[in-house]
Amino acid sequence: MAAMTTTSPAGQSRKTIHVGFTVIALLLIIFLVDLPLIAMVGTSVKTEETVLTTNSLFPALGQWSVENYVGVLTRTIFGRNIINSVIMSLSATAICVAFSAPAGFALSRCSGPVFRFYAALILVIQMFPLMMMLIPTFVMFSRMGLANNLVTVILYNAQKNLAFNILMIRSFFASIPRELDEAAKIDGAGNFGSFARVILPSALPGIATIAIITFLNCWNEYTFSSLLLRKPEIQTFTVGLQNFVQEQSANWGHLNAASAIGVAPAFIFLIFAQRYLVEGMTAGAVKG
Amino acid sequence: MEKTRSKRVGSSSRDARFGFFMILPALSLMVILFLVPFAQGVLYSVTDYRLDRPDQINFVGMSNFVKILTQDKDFYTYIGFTLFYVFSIVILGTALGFGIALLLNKAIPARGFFRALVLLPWVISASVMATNWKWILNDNYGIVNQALQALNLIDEPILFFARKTIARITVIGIGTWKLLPFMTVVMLAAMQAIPADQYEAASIDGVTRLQKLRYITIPGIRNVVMMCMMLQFFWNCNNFENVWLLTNGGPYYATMTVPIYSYMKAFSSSNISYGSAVSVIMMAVMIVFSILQSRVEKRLNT
Repeated sequence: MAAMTTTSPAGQSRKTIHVGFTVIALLLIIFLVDLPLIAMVGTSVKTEETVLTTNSLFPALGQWSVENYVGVLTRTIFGRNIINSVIMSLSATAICVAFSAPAGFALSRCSGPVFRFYAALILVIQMFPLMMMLIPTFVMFSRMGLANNLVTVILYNAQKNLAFNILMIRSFFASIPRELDEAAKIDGAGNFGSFARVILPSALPGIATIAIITFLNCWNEYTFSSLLLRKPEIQTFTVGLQNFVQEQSANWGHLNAASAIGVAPAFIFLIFAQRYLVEGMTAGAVKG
Repeated sequence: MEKTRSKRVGSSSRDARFGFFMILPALSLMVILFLVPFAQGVLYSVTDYRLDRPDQINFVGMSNFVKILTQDKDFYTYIGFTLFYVFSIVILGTALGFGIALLLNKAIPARGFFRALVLLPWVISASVMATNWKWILNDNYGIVNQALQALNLIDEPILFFARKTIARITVIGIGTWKLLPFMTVVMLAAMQAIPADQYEAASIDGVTRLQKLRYITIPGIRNVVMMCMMLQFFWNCNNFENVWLLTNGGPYYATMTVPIYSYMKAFSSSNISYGSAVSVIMMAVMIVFSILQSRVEKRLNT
């Protein structure tokens, strides 16, 4: 039966039906998978009174409202939390990319015991229990009086994403032919000059991939921030959101609007940079 | 000959110095913020360090470990639930992801669009995930309970987070939901890397669809799937926030995982050393699993 792959009109229409069924099945699955997020958006655009009184997924047409968003940004500290998250994620990503690109390049070009050891360390480090280093890190930063400090969280997040980034970017550099290094050196560039001016620009897609993945990881980080940042005005949005859950558990309109704001960067990356995201996911899984 | 050799040694040692200079920033950050705390954690586990009396630290040898392994019956319950939880979500996520990846791998329009929507749960924060699920599973206002009641499938709302067994099923369901996109997208990528002419050749030979699945698709993605299952196994064994944000380990410790136990011992009971020792044991368990895994892998590949 499957062998009948002729392009007769009957076969063609059977193919169309087949594609139709696949698409319908996918739409159903996606509806179920994304239901929590659909409900989040739907609830967030209801008016504050109708959040608990209507049970439709979305408000009726013409009754959409932004008052939950306005409320959460003007009457609570959540706007500050979002700004903290932006500052933290951008800084941590910048540090992480600036540190991992040279290291990844060195690992793709140099051999010898130091580099072999470092490459092995990077692989092993990813399997260590997080809690194992979280406890001493917390103790260390608290004793130094650096709890409640965004810089601490920035450094922690930069470090946390280093190993994965180095692995990823190393494979990008490895695919750039060494002749390019040599050519740059013949032109008079030093080791670092050839890296910064020739190699780095040709690895830009790889840099974009690790930057996007690192930004999202930082943006979404919860555990360490919740442990370190106790003052509401310094907290990142993931921690702030959980305070909402405890403090205003009745105000589901605000909660869903806050969640929707927190999902926005991820959503934007999915729309405009899906290729990089998928590349990062699959490369990490297959090569890591 | 001699000359070129010495020249090469000279340039390679200069290259090595340059390389070392390049890895130095990343290496120092990792040493200061990972390796040092990590070593400290191991040291804490053989002391009696407590947060509420931080100036009194005594070396107590293996006594934390002896206590956990011989007297702490809860620990075995928690490690049992952790493994059950992680195995369940990895197996369910792989099975469901395989099905969705097969659908996405067909010649459908707008595959990128569908893939983006499948990916959504993967790119959101656990903090948002927990809030979303608590909302749709809410007993009074949640859409799930309302829909089930409207369809007359249940008479009373299901308390998804309040009963022990249901809470366990709930966290397993949500854990599966969180890793499903990863498994799907990676399997899809692996399926698309299988050369199309393999399927064409099979079609000419009159091979059925099921046989193609069994002899081409599954062998083609097997290695990637095994790798991903291992990764997910380790990640989720170490994961603290996914379950913590949903249930805090409750009700009545029913959804307590080892990382949550370690966290609670260290920070709620201020017993830093005991919490560290719990993590050290968990790491030992995971090392055993990774050795077992590489043995099985070797046997399968020979």
